[in-house]
Amino acid sequence: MPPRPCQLCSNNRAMIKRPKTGQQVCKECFFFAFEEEIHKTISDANTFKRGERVAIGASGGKDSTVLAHVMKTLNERHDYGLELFLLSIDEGITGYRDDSLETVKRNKEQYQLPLKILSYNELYGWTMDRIVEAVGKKNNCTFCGVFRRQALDRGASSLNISHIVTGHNADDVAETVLMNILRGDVSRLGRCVEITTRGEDTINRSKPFKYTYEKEIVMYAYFKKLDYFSTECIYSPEAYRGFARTYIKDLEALRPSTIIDIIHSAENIRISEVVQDALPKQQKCQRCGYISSNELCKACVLLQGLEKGTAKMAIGSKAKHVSQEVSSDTRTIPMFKMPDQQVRNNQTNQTNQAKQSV
Amino acid sequence: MSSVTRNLNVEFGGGLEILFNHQRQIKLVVSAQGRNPTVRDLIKKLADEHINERRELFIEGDTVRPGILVLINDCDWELRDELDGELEDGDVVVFISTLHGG
Amino acid sequence: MSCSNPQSEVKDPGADIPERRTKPKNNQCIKCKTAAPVIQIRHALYCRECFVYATSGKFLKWFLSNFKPNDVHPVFYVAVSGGPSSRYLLQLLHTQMSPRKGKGSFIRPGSAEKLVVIYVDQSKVVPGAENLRNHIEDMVKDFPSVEIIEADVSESWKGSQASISAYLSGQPGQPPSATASEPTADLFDSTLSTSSQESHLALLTHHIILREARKHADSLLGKDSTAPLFLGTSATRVTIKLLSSMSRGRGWSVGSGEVQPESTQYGLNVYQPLLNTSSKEIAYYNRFAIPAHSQAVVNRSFTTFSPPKSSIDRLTEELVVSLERGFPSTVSTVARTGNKISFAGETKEGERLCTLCGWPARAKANEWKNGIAITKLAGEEDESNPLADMLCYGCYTNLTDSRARSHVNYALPGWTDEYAEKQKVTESEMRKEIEDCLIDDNDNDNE
Repeated sequence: MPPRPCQLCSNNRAMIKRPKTGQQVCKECFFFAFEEEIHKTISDANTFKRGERVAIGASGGKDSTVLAHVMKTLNERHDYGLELFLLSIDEGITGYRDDSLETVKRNKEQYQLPLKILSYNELYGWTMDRIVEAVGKKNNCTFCGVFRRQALDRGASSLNISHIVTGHNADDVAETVLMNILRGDVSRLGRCVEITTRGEDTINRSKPFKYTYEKEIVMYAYFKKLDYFSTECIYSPEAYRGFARTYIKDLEALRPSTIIDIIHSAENIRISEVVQDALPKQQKCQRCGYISSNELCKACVLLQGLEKGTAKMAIGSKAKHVSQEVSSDTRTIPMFKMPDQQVRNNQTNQTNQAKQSV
Repeated sequence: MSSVTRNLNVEFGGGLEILFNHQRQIKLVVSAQGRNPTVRDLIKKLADEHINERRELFIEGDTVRPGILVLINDCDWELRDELDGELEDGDVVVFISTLHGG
Repeated sequence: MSCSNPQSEVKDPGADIPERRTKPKNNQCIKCKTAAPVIQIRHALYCRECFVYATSGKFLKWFLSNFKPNDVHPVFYVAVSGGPSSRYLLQLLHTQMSPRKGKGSFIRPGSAEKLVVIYVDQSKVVPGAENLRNHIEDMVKDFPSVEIIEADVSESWKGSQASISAYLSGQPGQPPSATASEPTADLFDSTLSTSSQESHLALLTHHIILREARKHADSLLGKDSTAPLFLGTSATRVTIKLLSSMSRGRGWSVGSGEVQPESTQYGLNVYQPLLNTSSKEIAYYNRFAIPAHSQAVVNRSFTTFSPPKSSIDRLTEELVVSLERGFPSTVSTVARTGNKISFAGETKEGERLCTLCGWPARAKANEWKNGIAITKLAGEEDESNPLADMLCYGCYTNLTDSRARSHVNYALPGWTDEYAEKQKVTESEMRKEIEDCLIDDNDNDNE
């Protein structure tokens, strides 16, 4: 078989078949298409403002390593004018986290970006290892998810940053869409396909990789020789999410476009009126000031449970989100303060209403 | 150790009979060594000896594929220890596929 | 990140991962408390008799919430495939249409003078499938007054029924285009992927059912009449449909009537009474309450006994039945989700409809895909693509997925002309309105 020319430049030899488009392209055109598609995602959605301070959620894994690389590249190439930082969360899982943190530190040197590391232990007084000891391996994902979210926001706020970018890719978004349908969670269904989730009292979060295939991220890292640490969590993931993940992979093998087809479906859905009115109103947690739909935010409830030894009861929608007696030596989460920049931004930004699709 | 046997009537529904030579009902004998034969033994015997092809459409590991219902004397096997349910002589075991039900 | 588990604070009350299946606490029939239980539904156990009775009761309750007790309709339409769900539906409709005694007094539930069964014969497009007319006649023998309408899917694009305005020409990786040449294939061409063929079959079948009911109602009751049409979609089936539609890029359509419990289509009142009923309940009821000689028939589909990874629908079915086994409330949760969502576009009068499936379609089906992927370098011309504009995203994807062949002209059913017409009307009406503002091309030389 004679070598085929690249379908984009018609010049060089095709080396890669892109799963996203089915086109056969050369390395250079692949890099170009990969990077510029992300640039288009960012600019079409007016994601950033000039001069903004942005934290890149860095786990040491492929998504965040490539994200750091691409953000730095595009920031310079297209003159976004952003101040970029790396923000890494140490969940306190022995062995697993140590290596990935080394990768993040290498990223700091490679891209000359300031790095902040915030640990669960520092923030909550508990590591994931201790949490798993206390609650077992069935619900540990709930704890980790809730704690990580707050940790990222607090880490950003401490740097006076009000915008976080994460490496959630198209496969992740498609999987989350399916999970929300399986759970009947329509309010999250609309929001999980937004490129940026904004709110009055929350840190903005954006996903520049929303339309980027996971496979292509691996291909990019491979050809650009970016090293990363495989971040499969050693604590087994929810069985339910495992079903969704396998389904997506099998769909992709059958018809590669299904990953973005799912995202397309979700973008064109709207919640019916009745459900919108029933959604709970947001308020501030009485104990730590973080955003919450109840008196106490989820993290405070979970932490309270850990401290009091009643952690298993804190899981699930029926859990009581109510303050219990706390003595002076029961650990609580420090007060959360929104960064000044966010307050300034809210005066000029139009907040993107969570209920509409992009 | 002596062999314990059970005479069973097995029925297939929901299109499953196609896997078993288009037979809707078969009579067979299931046996086990030194203990009472269970549904697990029956499923294994059916998969080993009565399916000509595509046995993975009936059995997965040592249980039936998702989508296949199992009734023992018209009672859901979920109420009776499932695979470990012990069988009696003359029991009627029904396997119904709910795939492609329309 | 490999663990993408964003737990945001605000979520639907009650939205959570469905619970794992648990063994019931006590071993008693929830109704009579005496006979041994034989089936568990959610958290309740039922003995055989109470289960059958509760099934009729559940249907009666649904029925009375939609139909007044002493009304007698001229006709009920029901779509019957011959499979377990439609057999179940027929049985329950039969109990409604027969007079029954209630507690003390004589209760006559809402009923109809005539039942019209619509059967779509798929045997000529699905390899190995049979015509089930005889079986269906057995199933409806005991109805007081019944008529069977049989329609052959394979006739819907031939002869007088064929489309005259356009054929779709597909090429792999290229958008479909209009052609006036003779058709060289149909929508079940063996070189189309199984995923595409099964989607086409579902679309055509759905249209044929509605159109046959409409035609019959026109002649029996008049052109603007309305009548009930019952579909036997179960909770399991609607869950598969919703997830499969999401995966095909037509996820929005499920909120627009396809999975609503009631909707109006073609002027008919479409009811789906079984949306809360799982395939397991249907199988048990059929075994307990229906005589052996008139049981359901499972006909071959494109994926009967194929491995799970052979098509999108088959893969989705596999996911749903696996989930149902470990987490039994999955299907009811997902079925309810369908009720909470709707189409985010504008569905106004004259909205552009997809030529093939008739659902509202965004302009330029491939525009969204082109927006998120770079498939040509700057400076190259966009190919003009008139017919791609006429398809919705889902139908467009069906004709251009990896297996599509080049230089094929697909024959279309005649009703696609109506959908195509609607687009032309919209454009010319719009033009009329703005005519006096249009500047001649020769005068326009700025920008």
